Amino acid sequence: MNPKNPAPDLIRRKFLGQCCAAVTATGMLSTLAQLRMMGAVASAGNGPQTPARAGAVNSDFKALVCLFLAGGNDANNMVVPFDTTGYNDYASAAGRGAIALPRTQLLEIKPGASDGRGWSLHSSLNADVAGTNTTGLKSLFDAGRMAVIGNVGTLVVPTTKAQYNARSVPLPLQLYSHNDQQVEWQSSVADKPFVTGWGGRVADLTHAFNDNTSISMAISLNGQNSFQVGKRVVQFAVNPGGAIALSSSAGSSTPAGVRTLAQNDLLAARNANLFEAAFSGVTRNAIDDSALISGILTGNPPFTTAFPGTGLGQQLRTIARLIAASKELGLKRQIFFARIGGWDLHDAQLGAHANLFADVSRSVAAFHRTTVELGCADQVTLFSASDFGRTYNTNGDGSDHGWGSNHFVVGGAVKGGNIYGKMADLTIRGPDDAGTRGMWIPTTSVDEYSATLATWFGVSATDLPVVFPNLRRFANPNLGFL
Amino acid sequence: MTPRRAALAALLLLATFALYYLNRGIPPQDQRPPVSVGAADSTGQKAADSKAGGGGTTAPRRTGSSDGAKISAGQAYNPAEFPIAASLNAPGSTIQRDLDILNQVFDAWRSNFPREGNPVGENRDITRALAGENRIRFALIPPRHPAINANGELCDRWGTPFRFHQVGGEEMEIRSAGPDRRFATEDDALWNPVAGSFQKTP
Repeated sequence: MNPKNPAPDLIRRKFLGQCCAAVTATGMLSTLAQLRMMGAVASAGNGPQTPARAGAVNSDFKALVCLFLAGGNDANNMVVPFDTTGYNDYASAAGRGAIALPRTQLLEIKPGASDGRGWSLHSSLNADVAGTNTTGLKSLFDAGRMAVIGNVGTLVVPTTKAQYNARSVPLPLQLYSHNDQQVEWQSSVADKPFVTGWGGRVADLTHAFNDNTSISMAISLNGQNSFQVGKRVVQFAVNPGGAIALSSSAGSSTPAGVRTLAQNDLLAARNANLFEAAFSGVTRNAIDDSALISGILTGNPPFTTAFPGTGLGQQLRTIARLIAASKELGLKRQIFFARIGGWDLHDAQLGAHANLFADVSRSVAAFHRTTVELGCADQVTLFSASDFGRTYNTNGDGSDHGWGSNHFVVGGAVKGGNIYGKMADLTIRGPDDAGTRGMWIPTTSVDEYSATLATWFGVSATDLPVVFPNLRRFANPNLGFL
Repeated sequence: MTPRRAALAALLLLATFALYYLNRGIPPQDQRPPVSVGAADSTGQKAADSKAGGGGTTAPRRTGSSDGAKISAGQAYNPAEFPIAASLNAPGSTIQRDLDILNQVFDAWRSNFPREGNPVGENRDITRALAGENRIRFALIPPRHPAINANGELCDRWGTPFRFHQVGGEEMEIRSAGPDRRFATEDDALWNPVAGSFQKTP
């Protein structure tokens, strides 16, 4: 024992004890934060009664729809060079070769602002439900309701080819990898492990707009996703055919009815344990939300626009129904997630890609038309997202994983008929090529693209850094397409 | 500070360093420019190691793990120092075995670079990384392995570059075009990282 310090062991023990207490307290705080979050969901009791269906949305309503093209869309064939020199380079063996589209089939567009190059859209991008191929996405572009954003991709900081080659700037984690890039697109944080999605963070900030907080403003039509993961707002998954049934309405004489009664008894039981109580509350609310949404989605929709019978068509049709019911649900802000897979076309690309584009054109055009019918086209914005772009150079029958890609935004509030950002220099091994096959280094970051959408949705300039922590590294927090 | 406290502090410091090195796997090396792989890149420029070390005789030297070797220019290397990759495309072996070997190579990569996940990029970028062009200059495949073609791409036993399909940071699907050297035909062979197995695929 140190004579200058009569009780060093005691002090050390005290120090260690305080450390342990601090760790425990941190854990408890974290647990309490989680419970608070769950409690917020659970505190709304049994939720509202199903309200009467209204015909229009609130005047201050806004909805954001993320359309995720899973697998990596080859946007090199979505927006195609149309001027003679550009097309000839595009179609050459050193360009797209076997996966080049015939010029005669391309749909020429005339963007309001020109970078000196002529552009066109894939021939399937004017497909419509009526089969006339005159009212699809291309017609929305011409009508100023669709904009193209050039060469968007995940970035940690603005990156040049020289910096990429020298690895002198941080690069997105696991570039070219499906799972990682999907998550980074949806989180808009390319240099850190996933915590929350940018849609979830926007929902956390804007859910206060809603009169009714018992039902989630973040609804997924394709199961759980990273985009809508927030800290306060919990995403709610809905099938295109309706809400996922969590209980049965069958009578007590059937096994399903008996199970539901037993489930209700269990959830109604008083729980001394905090976790059990929170779990019961969350489950009870999910069941109530499920019943509420099932009620809304039953019967004929309040619009006449026809949708394709495809998975995407039905997802967007359900989203349109939920938007139409937003007033009844007491929601002034909604964020939706829809997804269509099949874009990872390493082989047999041309035919499959044309089918996918036709589905997207029919479904998105029908969705936009429905918002016009509902009188809320200016209040609904749909935007595309995807894992990554693809190599400009073909592998013979398809294309491989790339980086930057072109995207589209559709809605009445969109300043359409234009190309925003900067289209890539489509030169193999050129200034925008990260490799030797046309893997375009993005000229616009996902952060800039997403921040523009979030700003329109109601996120203030002061809150943007909360949602997009890396945004300040980039030049254009608002690309101007909304 | 009392001797007991000093000893405790030293012990904590030691433990911290031990944990750091265990987590890192391979101790850090010097920051010399990376050694390029293959005889020439697609622009026709000779690779950096060829210039520095006398073309094909340039040789890396093993200093590290049992899965591969630390490389440095100017030293002779022994193929036996790369026990996993040594028998890749070996005569008399099979594509199934080759894919299994490559999967082991990626497993070893992930063990040595646990925070970084799979190497990324085109075939030649991935090949370069596996052959030692990485931050710790650790090679799992000899830079002059006969499976690496003049463009720096890792090829199957019929000479077609493998397709490395980057599913996720921990999953790499590997595809060989098979004897007909055309992808998406019946004789393709595939390593499925999710199933963790080889499969023939149309």
